[in-house]
Amino acid sequence: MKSNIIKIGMLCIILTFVSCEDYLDINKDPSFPQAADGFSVLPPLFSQMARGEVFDTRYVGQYIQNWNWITANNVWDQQGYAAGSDAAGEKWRQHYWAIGKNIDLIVDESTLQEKWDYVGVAKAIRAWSWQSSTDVYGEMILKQAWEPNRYVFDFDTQDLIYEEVKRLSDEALADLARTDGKSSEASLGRGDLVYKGKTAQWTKFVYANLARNAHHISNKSTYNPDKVIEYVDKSFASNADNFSIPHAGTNSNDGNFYGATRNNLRSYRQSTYILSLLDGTIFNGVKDPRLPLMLSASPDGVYRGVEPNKGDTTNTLNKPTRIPLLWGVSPTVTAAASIPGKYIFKDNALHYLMTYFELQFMKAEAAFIKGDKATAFDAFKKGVIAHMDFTSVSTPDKDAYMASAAVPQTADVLTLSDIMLQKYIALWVHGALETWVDMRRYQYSPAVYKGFTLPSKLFADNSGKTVQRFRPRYNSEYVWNLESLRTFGGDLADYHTQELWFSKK
Amino acid sequence: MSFGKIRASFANVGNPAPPYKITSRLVSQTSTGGGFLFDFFGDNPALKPESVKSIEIGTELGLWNDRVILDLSYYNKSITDQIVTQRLSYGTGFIFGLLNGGDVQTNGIDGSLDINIFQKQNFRWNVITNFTKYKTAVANLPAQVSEYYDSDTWAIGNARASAFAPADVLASRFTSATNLFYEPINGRGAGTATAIGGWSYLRNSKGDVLIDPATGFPLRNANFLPIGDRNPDFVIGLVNDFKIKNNLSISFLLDIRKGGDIFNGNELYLYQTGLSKRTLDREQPLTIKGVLKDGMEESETPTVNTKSFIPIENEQYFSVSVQPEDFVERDINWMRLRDLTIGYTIPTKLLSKQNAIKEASVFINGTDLFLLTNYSGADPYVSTTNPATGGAGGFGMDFGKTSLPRTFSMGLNVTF
Repeated sequence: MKSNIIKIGMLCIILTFVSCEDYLDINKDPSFPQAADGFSVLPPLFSQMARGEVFDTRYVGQYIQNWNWITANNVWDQQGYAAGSDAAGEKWRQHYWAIGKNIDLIVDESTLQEKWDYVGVAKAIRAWSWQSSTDVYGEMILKQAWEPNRYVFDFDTQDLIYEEVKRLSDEALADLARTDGKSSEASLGRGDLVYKGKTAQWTKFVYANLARNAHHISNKSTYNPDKVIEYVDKSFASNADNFSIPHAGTNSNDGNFYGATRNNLRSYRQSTYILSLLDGTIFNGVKDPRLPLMLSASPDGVYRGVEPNKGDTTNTLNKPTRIPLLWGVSPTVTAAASIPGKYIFKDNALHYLMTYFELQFMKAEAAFIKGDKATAFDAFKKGVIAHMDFTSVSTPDKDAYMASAAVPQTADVLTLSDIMLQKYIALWVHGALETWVDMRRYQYSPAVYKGFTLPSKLFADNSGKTVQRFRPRYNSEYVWNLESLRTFGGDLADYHTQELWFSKK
Repeated sequence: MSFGKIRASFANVGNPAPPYKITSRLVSQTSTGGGFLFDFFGDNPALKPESVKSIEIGTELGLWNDRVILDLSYYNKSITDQIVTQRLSYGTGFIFGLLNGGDVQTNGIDGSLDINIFQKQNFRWNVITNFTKYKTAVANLPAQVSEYYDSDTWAIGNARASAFAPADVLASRFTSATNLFYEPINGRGAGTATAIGGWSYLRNSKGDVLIDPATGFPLRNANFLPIGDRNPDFVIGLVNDFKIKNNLSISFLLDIRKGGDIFNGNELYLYQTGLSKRTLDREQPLTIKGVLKDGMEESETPTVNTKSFIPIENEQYFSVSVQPEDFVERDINWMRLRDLTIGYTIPTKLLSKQNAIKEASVFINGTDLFLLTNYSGADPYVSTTNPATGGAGGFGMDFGKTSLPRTFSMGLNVTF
């Protein structure tokens, strides 16, 4: 009897100390993991990197006239914004949430496992995210970002974010260079859909981002073109190094945002401006071999574009002048299955975040500013040729174009406008965010961007000024952080026309 | 007095957080390559149980042999460290989170009066009156924000069901020339959990609407501030029961509400899309009453707006300039016949001639037969949410909802 009481008593004690922990723990959701290895977090991070860029490229594409809206007087065509909306807040979402703390997850887990390659890759991605996000938003939450138990945040100035990119990049380079621990191409390759585990290419990626970081401040007295050239030379060596994110393209979850299955581009039309750069209007009557590969002609065989604010006036059923969709088919075609798409507008197309030719144009501009025309000319030609290869132009066509009046034939006749216009063509749509940086550095100057004209009417809130930035994501920065936003005019109706730090002198 | 009772109760209850909301979870992804990323919901290891204190005092009295029964109660419920699901700043790394915050008090009176007016053999008349009145008071909101809103009620335009910090707190925060807190408009609903939060017009400190000198459009105050209070002054339900000669019974329920604002989102939608009768004059030049924002707006002699425009040629007037403030209808009252039932029991004398049927009765019932209201929309009894949504509810937010239907039914009860 007595021994039974002791047994029951012991059972009670065991139940109290063990079972309650296991069975009554309502803090950890048993159906979902709360920790994961780097290789399972990395693949969706790539998709989120692309998502942030492509969602917001819709609007940037209108600001810089890569494309324009199908109907007249669209607010984005007018360099405006949708008030009280999350539109153009995708980079914000990407930076803080979609990529956000997942980076820390990889860094923490991989540090424990001594997988320094994963740590380096995670830091490289965050550095890229800071750079590409601050270039559209300017002021962001930096020092207090992701701080536990904080709900109201202070914004920090852009110069501090530029410093953070450098700091993180240095750390990433050091981690990628480590040979101790458990780094290996096979281990990193398990999650690395882009570079298949090759840390040498990730190192080039970090330098590519550093080149942007050093080059975007070209208007400042502290600008150092030699540093830009050094970073470019340490980064991508050919198109094979391009940072490209794959899409399985089997459905709308894993398909390219620009593909027909996702159906996001049905109301956008090729712009008059990109057409004018390819059909000879700007370049001495030389027709660019990339024209039929990038844009599409109406049923009557003539290429047409849409001007901002004007809408597509050809958009009538069976009209022979009707402008095709960006996928190269008539707007009457609605079934995604019968739209193969073209160029970067395919369901399974790669999405390019940074490319070899972008960097060559950057180098050309830096050398041009420095006064080294020979280096500038060489990089310029490499950039044009690399983009011709990227668009699959045939060798005879490519050679003919390079020898034509569209391209300066010697270093001394090369102009800044030549470099920037060829960069505009090369980065059309997939590099729209970088093109927007360029156009703001030159304040949409028609001397640099020949033939570029601002929309006939700007958005009412602009008070006649051009667009310079996106506003922070409406939900919920304008609820929680209004106090901080107010300190630098973030609450003003024309905040989007305030020039950013990077483009100032 | 035939019966009397006084009751009082006091309770202090702690409510824990819902399960699995302390540690953030990872969810599988369907993008190329699959994998896992953090979910929308953020972790909050510091979450505390919320505490609810409530006091209720009541009385129940029976007079004249219980011909009159009065039931009256007063209650006061205060919640501290309320656990709320809140959309967060993305700076937290998450989109939603559970957090402690908010001190909210509710005071109210509930009463019912049951009077047996006639109690004769052939005629009985009974009247039951229910009375409800309550008020919410928000002392502060989570992390000292100005507004807490119910995202399910944000259906059209920039207006939603919200709770707001008190007026003096809002007035001290919204002071600049671009986001003024203007007491006569924005004071309504401040410090309550039943406000309509929305955009209003920008005004000078005298209350004149500011006009853009270039376009003649009114300028907006693009901050969510209170623009109405949805809470009614009181609600009465009145039941009348008649019974005549044991055979005929008539019963009806009148529903009466006094006060409370309604956001007429339907009208806003119709106005913006040119379907409202209010837009019939859209081809005539329109001059908005107000003063120009030309630097003189705060002076003694602001420039009165004379600039006119033709609305139909200015789409942005409708899509950008018109604010929900114009579509809040104040102090909406109603009286409606919620239910009417007439029943007749067939006298046993008539049935006694046969053996098959022992009892039989017929009834006719109608609901929502009439509605008297000063509301311009279809029906003021609306809500954008259902009870499952929780919180203070979406009543008084009218968008895309149909009126209560008018129904008729007839019935026959037979016992064999």
